[in-house]
Amino acid sequence: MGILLQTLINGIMLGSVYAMVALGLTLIYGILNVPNFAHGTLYMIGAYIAYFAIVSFGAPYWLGLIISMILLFVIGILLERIVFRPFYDKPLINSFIVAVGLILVLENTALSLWGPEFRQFAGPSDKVIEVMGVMITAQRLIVIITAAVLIWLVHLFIKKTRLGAAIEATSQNPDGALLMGINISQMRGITFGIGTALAAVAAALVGPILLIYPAMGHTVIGMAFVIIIIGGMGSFFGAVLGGYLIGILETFVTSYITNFFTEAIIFGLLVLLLAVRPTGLFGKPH
Amino acid sequence: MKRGWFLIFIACLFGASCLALSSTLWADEDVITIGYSGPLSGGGAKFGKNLEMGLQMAVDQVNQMGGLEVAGKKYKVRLISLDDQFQTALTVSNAKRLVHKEGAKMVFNPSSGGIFGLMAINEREKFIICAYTTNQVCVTSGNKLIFRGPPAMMAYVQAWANRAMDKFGWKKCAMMPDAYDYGKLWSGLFQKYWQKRGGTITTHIPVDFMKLSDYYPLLTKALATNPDCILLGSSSEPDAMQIKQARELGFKGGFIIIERGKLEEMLQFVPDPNMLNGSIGTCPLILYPYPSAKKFIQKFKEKYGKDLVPVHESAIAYANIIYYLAAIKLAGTTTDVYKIMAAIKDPRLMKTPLVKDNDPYQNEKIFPNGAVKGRVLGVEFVNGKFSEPFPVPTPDWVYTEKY
Repeated sequence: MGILLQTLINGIMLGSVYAMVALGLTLIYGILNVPNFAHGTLYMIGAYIAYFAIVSFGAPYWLGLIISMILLFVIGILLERIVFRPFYDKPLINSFIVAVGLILVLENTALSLWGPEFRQFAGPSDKVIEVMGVMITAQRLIVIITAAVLIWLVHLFIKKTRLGAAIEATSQNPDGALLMGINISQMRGITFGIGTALAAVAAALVGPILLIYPAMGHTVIGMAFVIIIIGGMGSFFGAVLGGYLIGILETFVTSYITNFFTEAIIFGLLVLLLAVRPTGLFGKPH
Repeated sequence: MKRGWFLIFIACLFGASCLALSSTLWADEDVITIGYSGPLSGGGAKFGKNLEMGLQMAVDQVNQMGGLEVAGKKYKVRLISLDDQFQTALTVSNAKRLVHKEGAKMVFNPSSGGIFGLMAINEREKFIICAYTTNQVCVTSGNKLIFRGPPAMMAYVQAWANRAMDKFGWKKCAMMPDAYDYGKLWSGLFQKYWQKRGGTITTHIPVDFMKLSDYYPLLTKALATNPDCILLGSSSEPDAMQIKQARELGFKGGFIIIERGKLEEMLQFVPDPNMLNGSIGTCPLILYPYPSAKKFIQKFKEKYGKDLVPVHESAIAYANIIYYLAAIKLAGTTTDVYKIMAAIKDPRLMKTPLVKDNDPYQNEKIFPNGAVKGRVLGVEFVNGKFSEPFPVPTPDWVYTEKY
């Protein structure tokens, strides 16, 4: 029983990270119509910014997280403006290649600026709490709770605010939104910023648990793609639910079956699901 | 604006051709080229960079002494490093480029997989492999153009297992080695020896540290089997994360650290040094009492800054290049790889001034199969600090026998 519960908690923790990264990815997909392959790399940059804020400048943990979030929001807006916008009316393959190129540029910049070594920063507390034989560190609780709150806030923002409605309109039908007087290029920039900021928060949250290094985005981004495809490309709930599902599934497969074929099993599941539901769980047919 | 871009383009072309020209100029006959293919980016990059620092240090030192005199002629030495991210296919294509384009007669590589890839082509393409691996198989398989730097794996396996059983009384071990060639081999040898001595392996969970990010799921599984100790073997930082997380999950036992992990590096990644209590691993280079090691450390700090702590990767890579260059001098040729190889195995090599003055370990000899006999120390971590180092027995058979 203890192990089952422990595995479930481990899975929810991993799922929280996946959900946040996948949510950002799916928001950006909604406006770009191209998966932003560099999302994992931006997650890495977010982790480094939090690291430098906390370790080099001595900022308290939460301030470091917020700094990383704000900076990545700005970086997201700039990237959209400078890197992606010139390609909107070009064939999709162009944006595709730009996104892949961005990985190389950002990752190698990180490698040459900050070196290959692993880094880590401390969270606000390294207490370990024991509940019914399940061990959970304060930081893991923080990850789970913050992720849930943040996802809920993003949901409220999109559904309850004018700006959110404008973003949703832009992602559903850019031409229609333009006709309604929405500044769609501004909406695209803001959405890119929010998506990227979500990745930064995810990175700052797991910073005290995982290791920070230039290639750290690879492990997360592969799964994030599976998640948004399973959830339905561009779907908010698909990304969140898919994130938690895959996180829990991966943990259970690792703990109970094998840690070798987890990816094979999850990708196999993806293939099966697409055979039955080509649009994913919550995707709408084109 | 258009014109500006055009000028920049022309300037780039000019720059690129200058670079190309200079590299062809370099590849002339007065230069000895050391080729290195290793992980310079990705998850293994730190390991790869540590090695590269040692290689570069040997090369620069010989050049500072005015170059290497071979058969009455002075040669400059240069190092060319290419990134392979631990991928065998890249290692092989890098080696081909190093040998055929850059004129290297020796390629240094630090991964079992890569080395086996190179062994498939090196005799045909006539280059020597300097293998940075504790895996004995590469020298017992009959390849004529290979030598192997670090001590044999079996020496560590037995020393760590003996220490764990005799000093700490551990009987039940959960194995969590890395999921690649190296970890498989290590844990295979360990399991056999551990069971032969009456111990039990409670579970065997290979860890892919290049992919995995959170160790809780695996540790939960391992700790459920109630082990006395855990065998860990990725590299320092992932090992440290596993130790920290195992302690969080309530594990009170000890850790046996495969030699790639360094206790001194792990210390920087755990919030409390006491988490490492009951760990057995290699003795940090900085605690080696050998005067030759101290001399190396001093030279290393002079070159790379006093805050950088040298590790075994750098020292062993450095020593291997010293052996190779001393062998070229002894053989009196920079091109005949068979003569150079014969000189590497020549008992006189260890007595040449270049080796005697510089080898950080003052190693005893190189066996006819190409294995360097190492002088190694182990250490334990108890009560928040390092114990006195203890010698790791390295009898000749661990270097010569197939196992």
